[in-house]
Amino acid sequence: MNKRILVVDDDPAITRMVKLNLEQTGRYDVRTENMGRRAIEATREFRPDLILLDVMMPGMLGSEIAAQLQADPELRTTKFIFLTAFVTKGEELRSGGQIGGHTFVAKPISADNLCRVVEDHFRQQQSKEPGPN
Amino acid sequence: MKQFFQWLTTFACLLGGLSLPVSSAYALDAVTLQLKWTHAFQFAGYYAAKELGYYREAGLDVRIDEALPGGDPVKIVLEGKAEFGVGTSALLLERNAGKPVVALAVIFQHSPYVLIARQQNAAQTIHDIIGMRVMLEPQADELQAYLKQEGISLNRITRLEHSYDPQDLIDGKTDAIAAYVTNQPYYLNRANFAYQVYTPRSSGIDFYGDNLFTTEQELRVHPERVKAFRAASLRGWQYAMEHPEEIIDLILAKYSQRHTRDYYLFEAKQMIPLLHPELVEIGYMHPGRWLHMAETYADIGMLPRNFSLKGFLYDPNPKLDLTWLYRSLAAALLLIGVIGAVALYIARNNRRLAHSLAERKRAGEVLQQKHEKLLETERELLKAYELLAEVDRLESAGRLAAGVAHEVKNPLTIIRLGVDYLSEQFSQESNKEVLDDVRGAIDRADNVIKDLLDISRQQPLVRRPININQVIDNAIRLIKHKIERRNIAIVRSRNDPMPLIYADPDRLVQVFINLLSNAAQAIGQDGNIEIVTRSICLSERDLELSGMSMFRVGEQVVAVEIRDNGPGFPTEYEKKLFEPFFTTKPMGEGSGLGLAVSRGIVIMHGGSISISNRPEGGASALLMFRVYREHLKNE
Repeated sequence: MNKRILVVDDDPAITRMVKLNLEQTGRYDVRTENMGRRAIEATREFRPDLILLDVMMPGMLGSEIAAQLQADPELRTTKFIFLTAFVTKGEELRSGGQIGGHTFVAKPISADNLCRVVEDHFRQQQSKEPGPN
Repeated sequence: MKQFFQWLTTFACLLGGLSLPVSSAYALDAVTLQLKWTHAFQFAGYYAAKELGYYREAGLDVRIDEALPGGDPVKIVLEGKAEFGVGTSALLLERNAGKPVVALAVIFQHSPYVLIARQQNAAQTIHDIIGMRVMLEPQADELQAYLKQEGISLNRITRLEHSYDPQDLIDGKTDAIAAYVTNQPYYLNRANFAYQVYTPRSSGIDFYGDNLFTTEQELRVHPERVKAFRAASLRGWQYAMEHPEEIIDLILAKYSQRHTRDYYLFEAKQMIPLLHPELVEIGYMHPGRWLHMAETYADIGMLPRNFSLKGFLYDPNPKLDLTWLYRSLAAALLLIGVIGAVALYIARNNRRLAHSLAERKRAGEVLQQKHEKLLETERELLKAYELLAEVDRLESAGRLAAGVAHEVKNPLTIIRLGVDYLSEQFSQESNKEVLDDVRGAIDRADNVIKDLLDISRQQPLVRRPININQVIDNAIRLIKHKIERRNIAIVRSRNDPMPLIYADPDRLVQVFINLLSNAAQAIGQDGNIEIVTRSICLSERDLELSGMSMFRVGEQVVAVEIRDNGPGFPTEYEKKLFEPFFTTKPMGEGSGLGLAVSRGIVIMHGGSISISNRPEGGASALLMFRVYREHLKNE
């Protein structure tokens, strides 16, 4: 079954491009949300396996959404990856894709990298879960 | 440099037509300085100015009052109970509330205000503060802005009244406290308590710390007194930062024994990176920084947008930064001329009058010394001017970057993902070339923004004693693929063991990556880069080569040379190499910021960097860093 991914970014063109590229692989069902404050609601309805979350959004920051998700008993296991524009070369070199324990991807990202980060994420999740027997 | 600034102050008096109050003949003018906290090294400069007689020389008899619990220094100064006060950046808020305060000088170039949280795991971040109990005073606006910037709303923490007792954190009565990084950690360290420090600077909020202020009234009625008090205070600060132990003795003897000698030593050491006395003239304020603070206040709704600084910032020497320096320079040259003429005149006269040989010789020597001193001063003036101009340029580039990064990166993301999607749909060869060009263009734009962000961050250095060879190894590892692709060999020549230097390895590695990529790009294909590291005792010639006056002859330094066998660079570019946006690379291969960023990092380390053409062809970059010694940690 396809993995479900929710993409939250205030820019509709970005969510559209991410959706097109991820769905092109045939492995994901993608839903998009452009209003930060509706992200929690969308998570509750769509029950995504992963959320791609923009950090800087008007109204509600990505980190606030993440904090609310983690505080919600029903949604606290939801996984997310941050999308951020504020990355310097130094940080890229140092952190290996992790800031404060969360995976992040730097904008602008290529389709290849985007798919790779998402795939890596699911592969890691799988190896963490107990076997099917 | 310090000597130079002292000289500047003296010179300012001569040129600016400032009449120094004549102290001896008249009674001293009694004024009061209101501190914002209890006596501590935090106010060292003022004690020094009083003790060493700087205030007396300025015609002032200064009383220094510490703050009583609950006392408000701004209120005390506005009520006329003190003429001068020590304030914080919140002066902006007072000013907005209609209170006529004027900032005279900034002592702490960076605010010491931080959040300190109990360490629960090594990977914890500021976001782990959510749900915690935090002791935060009502005026914690700077930290409030920090939390907001990090997306943490205040109702997600449990706010406790501040006890100002670090023991409460140790005993678990709270999980985090608002604190001054200059003093509270002292008690935590002593208790072997594991904690983490979160500074607003990590999210781009860079406030000034302690400043010196007065009122519009005082400035209007006693402009000379204000000028003299400010100058004497800054002179005191200069002295205090050069002689911390002496001032600590003074505090213990005359002001306060509330804390131990050890505590004050800790405080003095912690203050150095916040004052940057080696880089920034004590007292310096940049209007751009104040605007940044005003904007940050506006972000959290504490100030209106576009708050005007008019009348708020004191200007001791109008147009100081450029015209004034030029004027000094011209005056210095004039003086040199005059002294030369006088020397000639005296020499002739001497001959005619057949004065004794010894006397003539002595006069000649004195004049010769004066002449040399002036020449040296002229050189230092030029250097200071260049440094000031550069700091200004870097600051404005950084501010711009933080603002545009977000706005530019989002469209870039759309273009990049759009192009990638289309290239899957239209996979003919002719399309591929076009699409690759577009991708290349996106990478170029992205690189410029990232470099600009690097400049804007100005994060504090995390320094420790390190071996520079390891930093270079690391840099080579990180860009090996780029160099091997060009068939370039790296030749190392190193002394091991190498004396350690006191540096932030993560920031230095960036410098070497930049220099090595520049060398590789200069070579193009097939060649070699030679990296020589050694420890040397500086000769006069070495100093000339390094181009900066940070070091003294005879000093032990670690030197790194990176030589390439590329074509070198046209000599007329030599001065421009470190300028932001200057690049010799073909369109699209460099942002023109790599060397500007590298130089900024090296200067922050108190080191030097220069680039020159080698006589045998190719270019060579020379870097020098002070050798680490326990007592140099403070520098």
